Amino acid sequence: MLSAAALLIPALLAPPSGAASPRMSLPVKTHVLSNGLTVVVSEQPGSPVVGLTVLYRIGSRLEPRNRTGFAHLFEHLMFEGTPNAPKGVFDRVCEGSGGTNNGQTRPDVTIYWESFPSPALDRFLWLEADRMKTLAFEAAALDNQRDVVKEEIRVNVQNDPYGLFEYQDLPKALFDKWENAHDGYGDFHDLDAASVADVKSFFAAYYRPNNAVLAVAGDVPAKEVFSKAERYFGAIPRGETPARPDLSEPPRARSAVVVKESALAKTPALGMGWRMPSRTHVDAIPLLVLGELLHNGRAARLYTALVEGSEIATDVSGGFNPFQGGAWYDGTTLLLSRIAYKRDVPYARVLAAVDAEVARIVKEGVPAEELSRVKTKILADWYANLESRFGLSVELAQAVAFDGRPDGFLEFPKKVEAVTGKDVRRAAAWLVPSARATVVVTPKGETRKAEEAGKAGDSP
Amino acid sequence: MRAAVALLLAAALPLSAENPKKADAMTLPEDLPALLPEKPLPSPDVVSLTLPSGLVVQVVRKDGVPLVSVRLVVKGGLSDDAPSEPGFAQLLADALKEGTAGRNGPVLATAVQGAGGDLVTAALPDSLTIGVSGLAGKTPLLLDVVADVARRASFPAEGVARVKALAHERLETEESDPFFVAARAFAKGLYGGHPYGVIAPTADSIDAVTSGRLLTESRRRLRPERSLLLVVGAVDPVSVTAEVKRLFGSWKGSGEAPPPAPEAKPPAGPRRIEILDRPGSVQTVLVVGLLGPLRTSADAGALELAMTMYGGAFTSRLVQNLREEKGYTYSPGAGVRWLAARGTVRSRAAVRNDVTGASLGEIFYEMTRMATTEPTDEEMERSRRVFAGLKAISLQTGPGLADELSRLWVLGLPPSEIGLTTETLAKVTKADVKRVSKRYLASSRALVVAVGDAAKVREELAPLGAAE
Repeated sequence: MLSAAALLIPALLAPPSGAASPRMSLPVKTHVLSNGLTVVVSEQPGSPVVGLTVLYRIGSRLEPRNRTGFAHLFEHLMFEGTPNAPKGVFDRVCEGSGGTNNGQTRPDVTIYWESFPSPALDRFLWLEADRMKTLAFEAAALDNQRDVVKEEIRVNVQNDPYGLFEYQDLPKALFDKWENAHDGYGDFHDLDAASVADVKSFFAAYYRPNNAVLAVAGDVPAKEVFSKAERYFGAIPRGETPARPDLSEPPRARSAVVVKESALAKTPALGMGWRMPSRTHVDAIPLLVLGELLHNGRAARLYTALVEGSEIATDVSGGFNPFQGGAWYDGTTLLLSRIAYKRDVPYARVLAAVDAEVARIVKEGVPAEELSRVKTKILADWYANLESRFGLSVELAQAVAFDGRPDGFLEFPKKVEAVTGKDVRRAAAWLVPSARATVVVTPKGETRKAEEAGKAGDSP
Repeated sequence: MRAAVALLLAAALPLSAENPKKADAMTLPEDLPALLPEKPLPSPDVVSLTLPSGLVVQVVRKDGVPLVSVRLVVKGGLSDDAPSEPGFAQLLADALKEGTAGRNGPVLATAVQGAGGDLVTAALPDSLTIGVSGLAGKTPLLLDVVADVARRASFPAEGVARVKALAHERLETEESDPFFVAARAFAKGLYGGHPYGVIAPTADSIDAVTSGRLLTESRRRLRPERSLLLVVGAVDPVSVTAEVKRLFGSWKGSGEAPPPAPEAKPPAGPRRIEILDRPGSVQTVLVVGLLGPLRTSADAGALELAMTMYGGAFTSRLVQNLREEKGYTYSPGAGVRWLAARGTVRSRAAVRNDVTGASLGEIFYEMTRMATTEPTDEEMERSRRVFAGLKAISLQTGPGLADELSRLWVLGLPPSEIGLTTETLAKVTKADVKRVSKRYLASSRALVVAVGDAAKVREELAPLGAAE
């Protein structure tokens, strides 16, 4: 199967009079190998640099129940060698070719990417194909990466004043389904229990070509990439199609609050989340726009109200689907508000201030001029993400993984442009206080203060 | 993620070596495809001019995405601060966004948002930057915003009060971040009373800031003859240049321009280990290093390659040792930081408490190995490839190119120096790498800062020379 989609995306805004309308050329071609591996290519002239992503359609949400953190631990093991290329070869070849690489485990997908000078394309295709065939499955490598992962958790969670609480604790408070609620970094007990047998069965279940996407962006012809993909990946056998359970959850029936003490934090912070509808729901893109309107930048509503206005907060961040980006997710995701606030402010006051801003949108809608600014910012950020070939390859891979074709990705600007003030107003109704979960992190010894202060608002 | 590359070092990341014999013996798979010849790095076409006022203008047309980055880079930054006003430049940078004679803070923010961008100001040791990005079609507006902020920032009382309150909050938050605490002590320890010895304001210096001081200092520090205006994106250099002349032509500073920072002198004496207590910490943050050379030094290329193979890439010796062999740490790394008046050569790692001493011992071992033995040919070639490759990767985007041009200009180098040229790196020999390592990776003269639970860490570090 071979399909092609190419379009010139017109600029989002009317350009200044006399100037040519800026356009971005985004040619995209796809080809599916007989083993089910989808290959997607965007030819980008200019810099002699390639971005390459291999995406596997498995993330932390579907890892085994008694193996929290396993999808992420497995990601590390993908770099630990194969029978053909023992431990060390992957990175040695990568950096010896002038490239850089990394992996990232997201809730629904795991991505492996490389950026490298284009003369090394064959080598990187070979490396990715080699580890799609099989891994070394060595106990020593598993032990070593278990230690590295624990250090990663120590540096990012245990030794951090706030411990990624919006990522670690908020889903637990917000969701009911185990897949959505559990901690994707995992607890040390589960990590210790992981065995080589677990690694083998996870690989066989999810790391097959028919559950993967190969995306390439750079100064390389699509035809050449397709024939090379056939050469390196063509003989890898397909696997069973993994089951994809329903991960959706309706809005919460009542609010929840969790208060957590941190010995390392000196100022408080809180994160609140709401369950979101499916990504194809009519409100999904309006909610994405609303998330931006509330959170992103100094002109954002919550920044204006809480940081500049009442001065109860020092920083505001968050938005729609914050852990995967765009509108790529299965079932449900969350809309997050993360607010760092002042010590003498009760958290209930922060919640009430957010509620008041949302209520104002429900009641009054959003001025056309403000909506236009926000949409412009979303699209400029979208372009900026596509400027690096790495960013473009990740986006293409996600488009194919979630939609089965890159068209939805290319339509993103149009979808955002189409959002009206009425849409945003309707979407704001999803953010009712009763459907919210909140995690508060307070400096050690100040829980009582936070809880007493909180009684006026949501009860834990 | 397997490594937090971006968090670790400005440009490059970590790399490799079991023991040297084992590393040399690594044979590559037989059917691994050959590496094709390198393609040259495209050199960007930089349209450069200097206005009569002394303002340097650089415009680069870069097609692809319909975006533009505009930056005004003013030399000085934190090194302009008087000892009595530590970190003043940071508050100045923040307060620039609070409004101008014609636009208040919120108006500035909404104007920039409507162009698809963010207004970002930053104070670094050598520079103060006003930057904004957005849709290329909005370039005139973005240039106007930058000119307005640079020339007519008004420092309204309300905005200054807000900036001061936020600076207090930020300082309090930073005090809980072990990497910040370590960086602050490291700068103080290496630079002493030199302006680079201060990286942030103090609670007292925040309190002392006034609108009047900000106004006086902004006009004194922000002046055309010490500034670069950089525009990179899908723009027409001719019309951009005309617009720049219109907006910046009559720009003048007032008062006496601050002098450049004096060249920093390396501290004399043997190794020092400084322990900063962070009760309850589950890890120790280690920073180890010395002052480096000037970027104009003949050693610059050799040092970049040495640091790439020592700790600047994933396959570097330090990362392979501490992370891949020992599992002591998630993201160790090392690199050169170039500053106009002498930067640093440093290693960093966050390690768990019970291997603090062992980790520092390994860092010393790898520093010493660099300084006493020559690398292999394979290591030289790999380091050169990864250094050049990472440059090519970072230069593929407009903001990446703008970063590189800004850095070069602050260091007094022309755009032709982008990425240290391929020829410079090709000339570096194994003996050069050993020679510069002996000088800049001298563990016997290094400053070590350790931030962790002192009760646990002190005993760990005592055998390595930490004071009881």
